[in-house]
Amino acid sequence: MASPLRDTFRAPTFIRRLFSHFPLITHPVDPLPMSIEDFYPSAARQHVERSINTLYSFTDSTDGSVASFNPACLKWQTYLRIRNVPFDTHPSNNHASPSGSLPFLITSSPSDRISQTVPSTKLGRWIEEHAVGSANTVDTDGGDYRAFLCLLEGAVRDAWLYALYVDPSNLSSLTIPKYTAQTPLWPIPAILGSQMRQAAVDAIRKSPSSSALPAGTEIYEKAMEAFKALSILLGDDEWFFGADEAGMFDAEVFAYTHLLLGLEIGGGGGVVAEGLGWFGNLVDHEERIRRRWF
Amino acid sequence: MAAGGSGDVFDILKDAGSPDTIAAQRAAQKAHDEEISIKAQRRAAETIQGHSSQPVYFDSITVLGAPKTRRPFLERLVKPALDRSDQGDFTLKDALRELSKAINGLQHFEIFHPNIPFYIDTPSNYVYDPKTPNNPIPLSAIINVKERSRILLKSGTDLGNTEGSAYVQGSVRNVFGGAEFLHVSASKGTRTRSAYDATFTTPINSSPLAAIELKGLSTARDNSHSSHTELSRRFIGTVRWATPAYKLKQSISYEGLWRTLTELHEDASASVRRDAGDSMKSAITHLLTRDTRDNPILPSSGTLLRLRNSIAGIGPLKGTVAHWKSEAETALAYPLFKGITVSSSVRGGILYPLALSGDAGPKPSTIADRFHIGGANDVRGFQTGGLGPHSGKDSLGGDAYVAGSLGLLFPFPRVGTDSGLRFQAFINGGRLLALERPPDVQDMNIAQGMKYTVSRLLSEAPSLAAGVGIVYGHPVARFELNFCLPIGVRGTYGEEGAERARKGLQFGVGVEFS
Repeated sequence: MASPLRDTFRAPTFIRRLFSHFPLITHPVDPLPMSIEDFYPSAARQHVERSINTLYSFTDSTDGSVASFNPACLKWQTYLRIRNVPFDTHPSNNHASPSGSLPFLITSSPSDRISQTVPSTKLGRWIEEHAVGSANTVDTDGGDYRAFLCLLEGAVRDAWLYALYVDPSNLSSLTIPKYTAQTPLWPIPAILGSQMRQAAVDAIRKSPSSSALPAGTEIYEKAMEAFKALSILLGDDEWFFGADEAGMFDAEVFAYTHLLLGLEIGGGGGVVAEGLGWFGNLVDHEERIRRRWF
Repeated sequence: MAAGGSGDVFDILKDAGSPDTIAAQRAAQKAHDEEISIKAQRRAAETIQGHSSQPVYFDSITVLGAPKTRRPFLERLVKPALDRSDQGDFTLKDALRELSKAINGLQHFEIFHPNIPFYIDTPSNYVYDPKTPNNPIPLSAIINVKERSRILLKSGTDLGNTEGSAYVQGSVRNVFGGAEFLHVSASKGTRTRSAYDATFTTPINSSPLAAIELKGLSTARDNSHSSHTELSRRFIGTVRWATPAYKLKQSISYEGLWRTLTELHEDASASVRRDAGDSMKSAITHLLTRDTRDNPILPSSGTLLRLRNSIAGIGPLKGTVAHWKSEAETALAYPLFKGITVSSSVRGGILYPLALSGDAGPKPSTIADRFHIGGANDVRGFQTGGLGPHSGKDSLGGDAYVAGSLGLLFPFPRVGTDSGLRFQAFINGGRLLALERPPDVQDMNIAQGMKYTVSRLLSEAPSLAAGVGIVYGHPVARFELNFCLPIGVRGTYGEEGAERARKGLQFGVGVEFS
């Protein structure tokens, strides 16, 4: 179909015949520039064999069992561990990601130099294709599931963003040092910090569909209500929705509970973290996942 | 009755206003004026010649017409002439030479209109005493300058290396009355997608040979050959000086750079993703240039030597990258016969990783610091960044390289050598390698690795391409259209990690070709 057009632009036969003789000599391909692991192979070999999968995320370790400090990254990291997919982590940033935000996975086999990049949007399907089957058979299209997911991605996430990015004391003591560890030199952390804060403000504004930024107390109250609902949902079960094995939703809850309970958050965010401590079953749930997979 | 005669008068009157007549009259007037002025000049020259050995001294040198220029700045320019005069043994010839030096100095700064007349007279109270003709005669000199407009606004299009751009710029001349320049510009281009630049330059001690330059620069550069866009904001402070006797130009600069590798292509390789994001470089660079070429765009004779050394990240410099980067470049142009010239160039560089202050050991280089070679005005017959290590379609760059070219330029038949048109035939090539660990060594030792890499670089066959083409050397840029064929390439087309050669036509525009 496209061939007549292609023929028009095709080089004349004698040119093609001439081109086919060049280059006259083909040398073998050169090695790639070394990575930090190639530079210090003995240091990198301290933990297990290097894995073929690398999760690029907000982390300060290359060890896949060290939790990320970012909920979106920790969610996928936890789910990968729950599903028993071997992987290393690599400290990275949003610029590196094909989707514009972390995490993403690079699968590569060192032998043939070819790698595949899986953005977080396609990570779920990739895991289904590459991991062994799971006992977690929760219906992710169910109304209940979606409602609780909304609660988590709305109220809880807003409280997280408000506490860590909008609250100036946490921004400067926790968020900026963690996220600008690659470039800790004046004035870059301050500039990036104010950009992150603005992005968080925009994200919070978008979710409750009002243009004014709600007061911190209001956001924190909603988060407490959400935790209360999640605590009731979990009840005395081991995993959410009464599943036999931890699943995506457990990973998602853990991503927030682990970070809220573990970080020393000050201000109003600290009150939320403290309040979360009252829901014993959520605290146990966090500990269950942490002990088993981290 | 007198129709004929009156007709003549009318014709003359009518003709008087016609453009031809006016032009003829003007030409005649101009020729007359020129003749008078030539005669006057000749007379003056004869007078001066006749009295060139007359002892004199400067009673005063006055610079007129510079209300916005600071007095100390002008004093420093004129002082050498006065000092020389005070030493005694000073003739009229010396006086004229010293004045002309001072005027050259004034012209150099581009703050005055280039035509600077001067007058010499004796002071009004001086009375010539014929009894003592060998007593030095006092002179008062007047240099009549005209300051150029202080503010200059300009917009236009420009050609740089492999790219075109459109710009707006504004300059303020003589900001503080000492030939300081402030220059701001914004441009949008094909490869450097946007650039904003503010530069302040000031001469050191009124010298035309030394200057300090402070520059703030923000650019967004499309590095498609490595699947990303590089944003950078930098501050550069430079001290530059020249040694005219050896045609040497040198500079030492400090650069603070914050760059972000972002907007990665969907198929960007893992190596590019690893280096994406923010980094900060803080470096000191020394640059030495010795250029004797008759024309840098299309040289037919002369040599070029350029050495660039920079140190980043160590000790108090800080930053997030640390290395020593050293590059050398030489070029030679030699006229053969009948307007045919031979030109050649050799260059090379190494990037030697160092330990950041506070770090235990050196870290590997990043894609933004490594060398990328290949392209229409670099190593022809290869794509931009076409040589060296590749992953997917990305040029990853290397830590050591050599490149060279040998070419012949022939004048166009019937056009001659004055036009910028030439035919050319060339062969060029290069080798770009990433730092490697010697095969039998376990842990990385940088010195050992660099030694091994450089020995490979020099002992193995380079990647080569040859071609013929047309060159047009325009005063602002050089245009080339070449038909290239690769001779030696690493990896076959389509193979993972292969170099990216280019067969067939390649078009290049640039200010620097190698």
